[in-house]
Parts: sequence; C-alpha cells; structure tokens
Amino acid sequence: MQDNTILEVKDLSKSFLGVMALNKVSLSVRRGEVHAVIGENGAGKSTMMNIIMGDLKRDHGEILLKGQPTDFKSPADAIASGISMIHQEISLVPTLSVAENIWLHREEQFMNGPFISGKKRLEATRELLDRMGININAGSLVSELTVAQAQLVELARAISTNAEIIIMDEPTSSLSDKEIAILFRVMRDLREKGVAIIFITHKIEELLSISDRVSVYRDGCYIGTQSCAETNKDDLISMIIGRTLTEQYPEIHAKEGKTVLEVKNLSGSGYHDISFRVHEGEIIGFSGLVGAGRSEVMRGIFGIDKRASGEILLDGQKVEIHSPGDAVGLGMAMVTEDRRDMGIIRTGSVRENMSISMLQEFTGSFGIVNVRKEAEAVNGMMKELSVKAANMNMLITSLSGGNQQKAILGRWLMTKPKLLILDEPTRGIDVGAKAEIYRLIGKLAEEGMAIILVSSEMPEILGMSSRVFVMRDGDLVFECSATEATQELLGKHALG
Amino acid sequence: MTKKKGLDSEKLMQFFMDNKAAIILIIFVAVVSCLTSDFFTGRNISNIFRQICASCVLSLGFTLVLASGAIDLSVGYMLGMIGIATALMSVNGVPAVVVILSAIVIGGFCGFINAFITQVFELAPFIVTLAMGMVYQGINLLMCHSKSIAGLPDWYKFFGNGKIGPIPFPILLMLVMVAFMMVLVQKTRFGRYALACGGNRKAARVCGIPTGKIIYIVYILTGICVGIAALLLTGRTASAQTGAGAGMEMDCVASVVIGGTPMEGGKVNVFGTLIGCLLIQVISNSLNLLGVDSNWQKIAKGAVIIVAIILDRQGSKLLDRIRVRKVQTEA
Repeated sequence: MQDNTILEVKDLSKSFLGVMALNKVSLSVRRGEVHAVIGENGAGKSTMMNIIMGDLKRDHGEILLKGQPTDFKSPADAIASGISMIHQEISLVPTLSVAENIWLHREEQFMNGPFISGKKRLEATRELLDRMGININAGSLVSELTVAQAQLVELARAISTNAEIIIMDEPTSSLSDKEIAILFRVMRDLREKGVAIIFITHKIEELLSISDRVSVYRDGCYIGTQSCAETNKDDLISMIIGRTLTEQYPEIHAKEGKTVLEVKNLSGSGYHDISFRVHEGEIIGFSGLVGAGRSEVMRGIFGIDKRASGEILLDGQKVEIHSPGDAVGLGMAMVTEDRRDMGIIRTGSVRENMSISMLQEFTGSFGIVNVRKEAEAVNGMMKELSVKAANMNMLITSLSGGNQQKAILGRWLMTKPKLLILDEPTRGIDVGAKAEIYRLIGKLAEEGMAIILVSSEMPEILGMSSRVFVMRDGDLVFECSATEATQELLGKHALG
Repeated sequence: MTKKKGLDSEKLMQFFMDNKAAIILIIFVAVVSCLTSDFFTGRNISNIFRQICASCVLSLGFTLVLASGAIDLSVGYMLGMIGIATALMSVNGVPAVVVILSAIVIGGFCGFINAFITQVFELAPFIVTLAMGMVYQGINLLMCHSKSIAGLPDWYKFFGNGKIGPIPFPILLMLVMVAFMMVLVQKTRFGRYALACGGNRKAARVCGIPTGKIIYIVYILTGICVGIAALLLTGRTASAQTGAGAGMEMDCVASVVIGGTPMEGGKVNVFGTLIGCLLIQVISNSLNLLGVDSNWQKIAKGAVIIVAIILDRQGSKLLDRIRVRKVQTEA
C-alpha cells in the first residue's frame, strides 16, 4: 500500500519566537481517503496545514508529495501542484458573483480573445454546481448568499481546480444538517475519484461518520492515527485531551420557577407567529436548520433587528424593546452567533470588553470610570469562568476562540441577567472549552437563570436542554420535553 | 531572567509606540537647533505654540471623531464659516458673551446636522461631511459677500493675542481643552462607549450601548471644538478671512494620525494629537528658519506623515511579537 500514499509529512517542526508550535509531527494521507485531523485549538493543526500550503515556512522536517520532497513558497505553488484548501473563514469576494468567485484568477479557459466570456463561465459554473447537487444561482452575488451557501461555493471552487488533495478546515462549522449532507455526498464522490481529503473538524460524531482514518494532535505533538472503523468517540476524546472525559454534558438539577419570558405571536423578517415561554431555571433548546429563523427570532427579541408585530412579556409585564440597550436594561443578555462581527470589540482589551455592558456600575462622579473597581470585578469574573489570559489588559484578539467566548459570556454575567440567550455559543471552540461552557450554563440554570440555547449541534441541544423547540422555514413547528426528544424526532421535524 | 527582559522590552516598546510623535519631534528639534541658533529663542518657541492653538483645538475634535470610527471632513470650512459669522456679529456690536456662545452653538448645531444626515439616512460620513463642507463654504462666502471682515473688537483679538499673567490666553485655552479631552475620551464612560463604537459599532450596540446617541454627541462635541478653534484663529489674524480654515481638515488628519490615533478608530491618543500639531508646525517653522522653499516644506510634511504611519504599523507588529513571546514563555 506504500505507493498509495499521496502526501506524507515527516518530523515537521515549527517554532514561533522560540516556542514550539509543531514538534516533529507526522501525517500520511492516501489517495481516495477522507483523513480527519483533530485536536484542540492550539494543537497545531492549522500551523501544519499552513506549512503544507506554503503559507508558513517550516523549521525542520519533510513534506513528500507523491514521494517527491516539496517546498512550496506560496499557496499559489501548492494549488498548481494539485493541493487546494477550503479555509474556515469565508474567503470570497462579496461584490462578485458566484461564477466570478469560483474561477477568479483562472479565467484562461473562458477567454474570447482579450475578453472573458461571461456566458461560458456561467455555463461551466452551472454544470459544476449541478454536478455537486448544489442549488445556488451561478449569477448571484456572493453578498446575497447565506453563510452556509457561501461555504458550499468555496467547496465548489476547491473542486473546480481538479485538485488531488483537498484540505477542509472546519467546513461544517456554519452548515446545517441539510448542507452537511451535500458536503458529505460531495466528499464521498471525490473519494471515489481517488481524491485525498484532509478534513479538519471539532465534531467527533461527524468525523466518525465520514472519515476513513483520523490523526490526532495535541499541544503541537502527533498523538496517533486510528482507523475510524476501529475507534469510538470516547477513545478519540481521551486521545485529544489526554485524559478520559466521561461525560461532556453536565447533569443539571434545576428547579423550574415562574415564567420569565413570554413571547406572543412574534413576527418579523424570516419568522412568523412565534409564541413560547421560558421559565426560571429552564434551558430551552432551539433546534432547526441554518436559515430556519432561529437567530432571527432571538435578534428580534433582543432588539437587534426590527420586529413586525407581536408582544414580549418579561415577568408577566408587557415590555417595549426597540434596541439591545432596552433589552439589557430589562435584564436580558445575548451571546450572538457571530463573535467577530457582533461580539468582541477588536481594538479593546479583555478588561474593556468584559466591563462594557456594566460600565455604569463602575462610573463615579463626572462620568469617570473607576478603573480599580472595574479591574476587581473583571478579575473576579475571569477567575470564575477560568478565562485564560496573561493579563486583563491584553487585546481580546490575543486570546484563543474559547477564551474569547468565555470573556463574552463573562461580559453578560456581570450584568446579572435573568434571561440569557445563547446563539451557537460553542461554535469553533475546542472540546475542553466546550465542556467548561456547558458546565457553566448548567450552573446558571441551577441558580435560576432562564436560558435560551440556539444550536445547530443536535447532541448539544439534547445534552443541555430541559425543553426543545424546533423551527422550520420561520415557523415554530414542534415542542417537546428533554425526555421525549431524540435526534431522529428533532431531525424529522426540522426537515419537515 | 529572560522573563524579566521580555517584560521590559514590552514596556519599552509600548512607551515608544505611545510617544513616537514626541520622539520624532525631539530628534527633529535636536537636528534643527544644531543647524540654526534662531530656533531656540523664546520668541520663536512662543510663536510656534501660538500658531498651533487653533489647529490643535480643531484636531482635538477630529481625534474624538476618528476614535469613534467616523470622520468629519467639514471641519475646515465649518471653521471658516463660524469665523465670518462671529466676526460679522462682533463688528455689528453684538456683546462678547453672545458671540462666544454663538460660536459654540453654531459649531454644535453643524455637528448635529452632520450626525443627523449620516444617522437618519445611514450614509457614509466621509461623503456627507465632504458635501456639508462645501455647503458651509458657500454660506461663508454668501454671508461676507466674498470679502474679509476686519476691525474686530479688542475682546475678540484677546482670543489670539491676550495674556493671562505671563501665559498667552490661546495657549492656556488650548491646554485646558487638551486636558478636558484627555479626561473625556480616556477616563469617562462616554469615552469608553465612543471607543467601543470605533472598534466595532455593531458589537457595541449589542452590548446595550446607545450607539446612535453616542455618535450624535461625538459630532456635536467636534462641532463645539470647531467653534472654539474659529474664535482662536480669527482672533489671531485679527480679521476673518474668507479662505480661513480651507484645507485644515487635512492638517487635522495628519496631526491626529501622527499622534497615534488610527484612521480606523477604536484607539485614541489625545496628547499625541497635541504633539502631532507641534511636529507639523515645527517642521514648517524650522524649514522657514533654514530658508527652505515653502514647496519643499509640503514635501517634508507629507514625508513625515508617511514615516509616522509606517512606524506605527511596524511598531504594532513588533509589539505583538514581543507580547506573544511573553505569553508563551509564561505558559
């Protein structure tokens, strides 16, 4: 089977300013396999991929492509040699169409003399998308697409290069089950054709369902490679975190109290006639496909977007919420889906980011902020949530994703909310940080906080919620208790 | 041992970054004072300070607006218009208090208009304030029939040449404004909110900050700074010139950015703005003293701005690297 190996990484090392990011790691990928790469954030996965793609220089080690040592100077070299990569962050030009994006910088085949034939390009794009089974208009602007659709366009672009190796960096993090099914189908097709796929992910169930083999990395070291048929979730988790994690989801013993939030006939852009209640100590799970209107409802309730009609009652009183400021004033808090866009303030420190919603507490005469009081409170919260930062005056962007998310959670807990809305709170966060966030959510519910958890990860919904709602096409279509809920039941209602 | 060294280099680098304008200024002054003995005379130094008062106060407002993630390109023509308006009022015998208050009120109102148009119609402040600048210029020329207004009363000239004790009044006013702005932007809750708007307006809104209101206040305060700057400039020239203020917004951009407040917003260095103004004036002044052609002075100014922002970018990168190394050695 030796000649079947297409890409081999041997003893690859890389250090940043004296600190080892990769310590003699290996990876061996065969033709026609889906090879999963897993590890916590900071395990060195991205660094290794960036070196393979020629984005970073290695210190030591070898990369063999079809048995030949290679040293790409830039991603363009790697693409020319048949390796392409789908990045986690969308790297499409929003003002250009789907077709223009897919063939960007590779328009030679559509040339009509000095001009690009838009028609030919559109045709080629349609054919490509049809082949993949993606229903997206080739002429649409990328800015008109949903995040999930854009991710599929990225996939189409990677495939259109006819690459022999495709690296996918967490391609499913913003996809719902429907698009994941498309992605997996495309991956299986590619595997049939002998393409090697390196699949980076955090989701273990998903990995086991699609991959042939999996390589695990931890703290810059190579831990081992397993055949997916011969391993299971618990084994992988203990390989990833280096200890056995018996239960990812905490047991929650919360007592349900009085109604905190009641929503009556709420309608707005992307959702209609939504009514539900949340009680003290309750974790309400909102399940459904991406685009079903879950985030839109939450944004409407929190005053981020305008609502068309309907009533919101808090503690039995009708309330007017026209902006997030109103919602915060009423004791609500919301961790938004998109951390970079609507969560962190990039130019601010950890301290400034965490105290911003509660600044009036630390403001003395003449509106001057009492930095000492502020620092004490922030420090307390950082300890409580075990936010790992060298100090609170570091830029928030210098923290890992999981720690940024904990800091944002801390920002809201400082306001002592009675209702906490969490929209995809664990997206793109490693297993360790996830478990910590779950424990924290459980603790808050036990203390009597009403919590709404919007999530596309079914196990998360099932593991955390006390009641589950399912949304489909903007409607609330199903409600059940945690004991009744199963993956199949929720999936059936989500797909309709 | 290495840990301690890393800590020191971070602090040192941070100090350089926070004070790079001052460091460039000191080097520049050192070189110039070697070349000519005319520079370090009491008269010349006092002149330099008096010349920057108006542009510094103007730049203070500009600092706030940039830090909040917006821009106000109308400040130059707004200053010219307020200068003419207040000069007209004062030569027609309107009492000093009323004229001074009107300068502030007109400035605040113009700022309000800028904010109103950008906020209500959700337009880019760059183009709105550019267009409003043209409007202010037109109003300016209509009011004075394109003629300068001379014969200002003594109280008005006090804004340019008055002294309180040994200290010229405009310099005192400027320093008070610098101190006020430093406290406002760097110490108060409003300042935090404005910087949060500059860093990420959407996230700031989600945090519960009334971002719309903050932007209104930012523009109004900027307008008030313009009003005060108009009094200072008109008082110093002892007459309201029709062309006063034209192009000053570009000097503002230069001094604010040299001072360390980035165009992208979210960060601020109010004291740096004062240093930036000083640096630009010192360049003109010293090249004058050395008898350099004024066209060369423009080239020199442009070059200094480029050098300052290159230093800013490279310095930030280096600082990040030092920080990363520090965190990693601690971990």
